[in-house]
Amino acid sequence: MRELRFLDHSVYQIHENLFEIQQTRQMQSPARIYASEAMFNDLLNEAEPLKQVINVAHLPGIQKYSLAMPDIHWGYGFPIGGVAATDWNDGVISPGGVGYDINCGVRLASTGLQQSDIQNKLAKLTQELFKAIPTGVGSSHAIRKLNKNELKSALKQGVSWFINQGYGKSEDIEHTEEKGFLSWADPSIISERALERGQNQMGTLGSGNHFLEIDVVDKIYDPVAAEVMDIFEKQILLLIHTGSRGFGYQVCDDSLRVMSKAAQKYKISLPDRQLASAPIQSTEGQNYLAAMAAAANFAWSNRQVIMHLANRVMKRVLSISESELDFKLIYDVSHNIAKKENHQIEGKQKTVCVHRKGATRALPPGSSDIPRKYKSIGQPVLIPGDMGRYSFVCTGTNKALDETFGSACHGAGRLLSRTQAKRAAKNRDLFKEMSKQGIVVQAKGKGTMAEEMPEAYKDVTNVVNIMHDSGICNKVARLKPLGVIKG
Amino acid sequence: MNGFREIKHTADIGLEVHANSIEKLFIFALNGYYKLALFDNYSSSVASEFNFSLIETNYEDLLITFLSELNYLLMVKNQVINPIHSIEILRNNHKIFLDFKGQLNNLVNPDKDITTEIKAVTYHQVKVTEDDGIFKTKIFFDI
Repeated sequence: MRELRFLDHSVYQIHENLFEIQQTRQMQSPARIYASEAMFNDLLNEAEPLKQVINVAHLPGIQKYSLAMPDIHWGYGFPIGGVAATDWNDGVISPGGVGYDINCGVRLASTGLQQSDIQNKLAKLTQELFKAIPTGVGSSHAIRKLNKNELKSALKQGVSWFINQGYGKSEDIEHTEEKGFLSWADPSIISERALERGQNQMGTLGSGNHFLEIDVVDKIYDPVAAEVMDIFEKQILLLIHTGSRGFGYQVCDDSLRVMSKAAQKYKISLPDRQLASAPIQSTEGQNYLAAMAAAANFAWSNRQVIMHLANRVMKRVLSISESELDFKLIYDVSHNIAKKENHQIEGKQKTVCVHRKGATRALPPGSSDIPRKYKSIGQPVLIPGDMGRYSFVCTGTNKALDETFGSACHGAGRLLSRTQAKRAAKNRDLFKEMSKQGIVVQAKGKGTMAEEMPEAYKDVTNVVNIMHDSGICNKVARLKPLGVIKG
Repeated sequence: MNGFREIKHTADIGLEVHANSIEKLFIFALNGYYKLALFDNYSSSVASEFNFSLIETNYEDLLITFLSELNYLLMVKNQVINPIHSIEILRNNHKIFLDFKGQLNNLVNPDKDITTEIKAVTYHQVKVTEDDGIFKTKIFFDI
């Protein structure tokens, strides 16, 4: 085992793609980072993301390791790409382990169409999707404004409330993580401000790295799993990445104020105030879980409504019927969430709170928490890349369950800061550059295009290969973007 | 030294702020926030006078609550404070009181004039320090 140093910590290379930072002083566990040697060297130089993985290891009740996936980058409290499980009875919960965009996640839908079916109408289709699905700062009014009672019902029931209103099909529920709702959501503790922000933002993408893509299946790695998911080469898929919008930001903001005081009350000393925590079993901890669940239900519903709006646009622009489009939800999975789960720890089943902050759940074949259709192959793990390269569909594994509390990476991970990206984009026509690659992009502003350009991200292929080679997830298919809408 | 500058964060944005009084530190932090979130030549119409008061136990919480209020006004209500009429910060026993007055304006074209959606003002690495009469802080914004 090769030994390295980071600050005053010993670091060991466990295998080609796994590094461990030893536990010292106030740390409650060691930390483990999945990364190639080159990526880890960059992390040693950058320092902040590794400091954050170490900070997370200070959380009371943390089990086994503070973990980071290969898309790790500098976040708040937790790094993006961070995973931590805390003891359900004696541990803490931290909103910093979920983030502001509660239940930000990815939804993948299949169609019965091939690339050749849409190629002539790709520009029009992208343009019409851009018109129908509000994007950008404060985007709103995709559907009619919900009154507060309606919103509270939706926050309690999640996706099923919108299905009952006609936004999608009942079979979509089965293919959404947790069937699109966390039952412990409690809308009665949500602030007026959060409700106000949520009333008109259902069905909107927002800004930043959120997107909707028309993708084509470019390569199949696992034909058996692909067939189970109804994925075939040259097929058109729709990929949606967004979360709980202003509603979730407000829930997180409200909760952090409470947690900051709770950390003092319960004498929880942590190296970063953004990690503010409370015991899971305390009133503050339970209230956060109930509010976070309401925001999670909002996010699953948001992606459900967007998929429904996209379905309508595709049928209209392509002049085809519902059966010709054959639009089906493959899966919807969160990558910013904290949930009660059971895991094998030191040979015993233990109930823990798994925080995934920029990490995707990746359960193996046979798990009780995945749709019946996917029992034989494992949970679909959706890993989007940047707008110019690829996205991946993978499946969860037993090794993920053993090593990472059933978690994998969630994307490519940023490489350049937004300012660096804008500098790199100066005097370039990024729309034209994308067009030369055969990708139609509709975005609200040049600023977003610059910040989100492909070079701003790590190559998702390298990131996914680390997870695949480490046995954390299995590659099933590679998708290539054809049409992209951004905020 | 008075003012603010943008500082590096991989996925988001931050500000480093310096001022020779705590009140000016808050004003420069607000100006820096508007610089990050708004188009320089935004157009607006006068709405009303705006007053608010806050009480916290430390400068860090006061600064985050202050900026969060103004972030809510901009991101949700599409309202901006300009000009600032007065800001007073007083320390009394273990509490710090802020009294803020300004003119509230409605943005005419919020879609165009809000250039960056700021989700929240974070607690990440926040610390207000004073050295030889110069107040300093770093603030990171989640975008």
